[in-house]
Amino acid sequence: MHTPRSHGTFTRFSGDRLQGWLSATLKVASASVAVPELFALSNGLRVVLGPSPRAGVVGVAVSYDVGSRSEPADRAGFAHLFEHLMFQGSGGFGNGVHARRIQGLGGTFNGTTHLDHTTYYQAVPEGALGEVLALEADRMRHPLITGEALRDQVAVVSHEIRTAVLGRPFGDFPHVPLARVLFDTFANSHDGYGCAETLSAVTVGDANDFFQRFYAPGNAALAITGAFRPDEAETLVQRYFGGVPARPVPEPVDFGEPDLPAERWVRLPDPRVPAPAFASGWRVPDPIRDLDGYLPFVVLAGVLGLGRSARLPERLVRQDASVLDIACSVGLAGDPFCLRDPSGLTISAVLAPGQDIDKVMAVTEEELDRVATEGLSPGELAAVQRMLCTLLLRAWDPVAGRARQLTVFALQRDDISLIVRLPELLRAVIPDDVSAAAATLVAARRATVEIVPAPQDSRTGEAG
Amino acid sequence: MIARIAVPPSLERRLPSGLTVVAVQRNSVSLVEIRVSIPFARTPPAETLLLAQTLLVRAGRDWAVSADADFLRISGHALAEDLPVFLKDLADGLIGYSADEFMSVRSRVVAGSRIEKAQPVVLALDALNTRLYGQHPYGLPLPSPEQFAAVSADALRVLHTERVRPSGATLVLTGDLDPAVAVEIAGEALAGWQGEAPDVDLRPVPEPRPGPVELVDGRGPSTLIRIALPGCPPRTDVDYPALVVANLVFGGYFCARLTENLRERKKLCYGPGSALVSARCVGLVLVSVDVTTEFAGAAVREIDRELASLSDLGAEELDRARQYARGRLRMRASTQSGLADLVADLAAHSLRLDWLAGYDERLASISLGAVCDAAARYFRPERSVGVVFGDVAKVSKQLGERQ
Repeated sequence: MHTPRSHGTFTRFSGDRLQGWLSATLKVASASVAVPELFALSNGLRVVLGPSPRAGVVGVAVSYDVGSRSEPADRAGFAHLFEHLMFQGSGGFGNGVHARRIQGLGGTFNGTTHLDHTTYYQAVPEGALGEVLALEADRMRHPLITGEALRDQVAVVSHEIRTAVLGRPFGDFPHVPLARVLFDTFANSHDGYGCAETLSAVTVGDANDFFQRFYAPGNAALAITGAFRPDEAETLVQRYFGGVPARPVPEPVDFGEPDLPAERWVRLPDPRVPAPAFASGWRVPDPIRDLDGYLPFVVLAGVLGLGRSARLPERLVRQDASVLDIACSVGLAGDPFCLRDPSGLTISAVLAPGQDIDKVMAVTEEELDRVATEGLSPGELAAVQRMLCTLLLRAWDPVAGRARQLTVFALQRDDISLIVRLPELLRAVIPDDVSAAAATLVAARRATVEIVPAPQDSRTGEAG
Repeated sequence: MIARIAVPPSLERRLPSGLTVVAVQRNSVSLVEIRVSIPFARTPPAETLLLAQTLLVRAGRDWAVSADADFLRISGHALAEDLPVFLKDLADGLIGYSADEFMSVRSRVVAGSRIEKAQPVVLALDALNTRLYGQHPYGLPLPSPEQFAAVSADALRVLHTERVRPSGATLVLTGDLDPAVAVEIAGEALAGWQGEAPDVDLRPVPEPRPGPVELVDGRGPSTLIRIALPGCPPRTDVDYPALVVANLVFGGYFCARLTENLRERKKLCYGPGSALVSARCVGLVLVSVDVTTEFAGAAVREIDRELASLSDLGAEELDRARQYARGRLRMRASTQSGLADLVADLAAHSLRLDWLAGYDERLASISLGAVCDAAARYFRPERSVGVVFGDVAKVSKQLGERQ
């Protein structure tokens, strides 16, 4: 739909799964491979220009280096709520103007709140760039945060939670229930949607503090992609963003946690689900500081779960018919290259009727052990690498998708060359790397949440 | 203000088998998108859906195959250099039916359908389709687990032999390709796919029977409202651009009246909306609103009110919706997958890419009077056919209060 939908990463269980997170440029026939240009304004705003002249449309993304991990402990869901507030008008533009202007230009817009960043993005027909930049700069300078806007958006988000999460079987599975078991700190384990009660307690003062603290230009990145002229774009960026006053940038926070001391297993009755399901997760290397150590886990997740011929679907879906669907991904919320440490590798499955979770878990352990000890079969690695590259390229084909990824690379890595290099780096992973990664995924380091169908009105967890 | 829409280079060829191949170049990234549509009217639903699930399962790559009452549709994507390999997969699945995976796929589909049949979104649409079309193929609900379980591999073999045929089918390739080369490669890869499909068409749909919304009992924290406005014209109709704009103003984008009223003003729900649906034999506007059950009655009332007042439409609303309609065309054409879907969608209605420029111009020059007329003609509460899926006891009380 055309609503500012959030939590794009809190993906549904079925359907896309890994789809949508990967994409870029490898051995190119005629597609372009230029690394976009990255520079900073005097107020600290990082700017990326990635033109592709024949797109016919232009994409603009602004990301702020704050996500649900940074929200206050008594304010679960706050980062997402704040994202909604950013559409309620700003100093120069009244409530509702953003949506009407962008759509009136023939464009689309949305916002999305992740663990470590919040992104606002637009795609508009060629020629409308200046108007989009004016809108984005104005809300970076002074969003209109009023009691009325706050009450309105608490109501909207509460509806969103009720219909998009609570109203749907597996609405927040596997990420939300698994995070509660895999992590201990509030930052890593809480539900980024929050709930109507905690959100209702938010005040205008809270929102202003949050804005002051996290929405400084030095804590943000802007990317422009598609059909535009870089020299003109640079002038427009200076005109609209150059005057946004610099403000102090928050100190980076390390959200890392020590590894699990022992295996964890929680059983969670859930009245929404029609079939039993489980999700297991493990910590993986730091995606930013140890990309070389991280990539083999991304490839391993592909070997295990990407496509119907991957190892786990092949065994459990096709041969044993013991699960209806199984997915394996890196990145906690399904996107391996859009978060900082800690990240994780997740295996999640919905069981077929009458099937036993212990048997299914035993098969996953067996397949992990096979990858660790016997390695990969000929051609298996290359096929997975091709699929991963295809996913990356496909996610980065839309101008807005490319712009979003560029802002995240700029914020988290200060290096946007990955938009060209990442496919090559994935292809450079060798079988021994993948085996070594698999060898770390032992039961003792594993956190598992088991979801069992339950009668209505029973939703409390019991540790097991 | 919006520049003329650029139509990308393309080439079309009808193969001796009757298969139409359309190749469109858009080399933004080095991928290709592949779409096939095969006319599939009047085939039995459970067999058709199982055939879709098993058709390319042997290939081991992630083809997506779906089916509705009009077409069997295949969708895939590959690195540009892998196009020949993918077309070979496709040819294998189209030329002969392999039942190797049939048993395991069927048991999975049986179990999966049990879950699907518990999904409020599925049940609500099933109820609406039944109410609209009765026993016509468009009205048939998602088959039950028992219906899937009763399908045999032999039945699929027969269905494949009779209906998976190139005459009347379309193959669309978009992406990083040279159209002439791509058409050549496709012709070679699919040369072995031969045979005449029978000339099957759907009978006309029954006359709509408008009336108050029908209540369907279902559990869950929210209530689903699905209201159809049948009798909308096809893309080629002179009214179509006006209908598109009228639908946007009503519920087709974020700035629509439904969002403004139900979400922003009355705070009844999160994402109300409406969409134009074009099947081979029907066109309709589908209004979808999910609400917390306590607001169901109020939401139905507001939807009716918005329907009744849509023809009172201003120039500013028209301009914004028109721009959005034109921008949306450009967005779709700006990605390889959007372009592939667009070309396949047009082909399903016997249209080609070159139709876009004219359509875009008709949108640009549309008059306020034409949009108001379309609103008055197609958006009327007394034409609507709807269902409300939720707790009947609670909802009927709210609807009762309103009458």
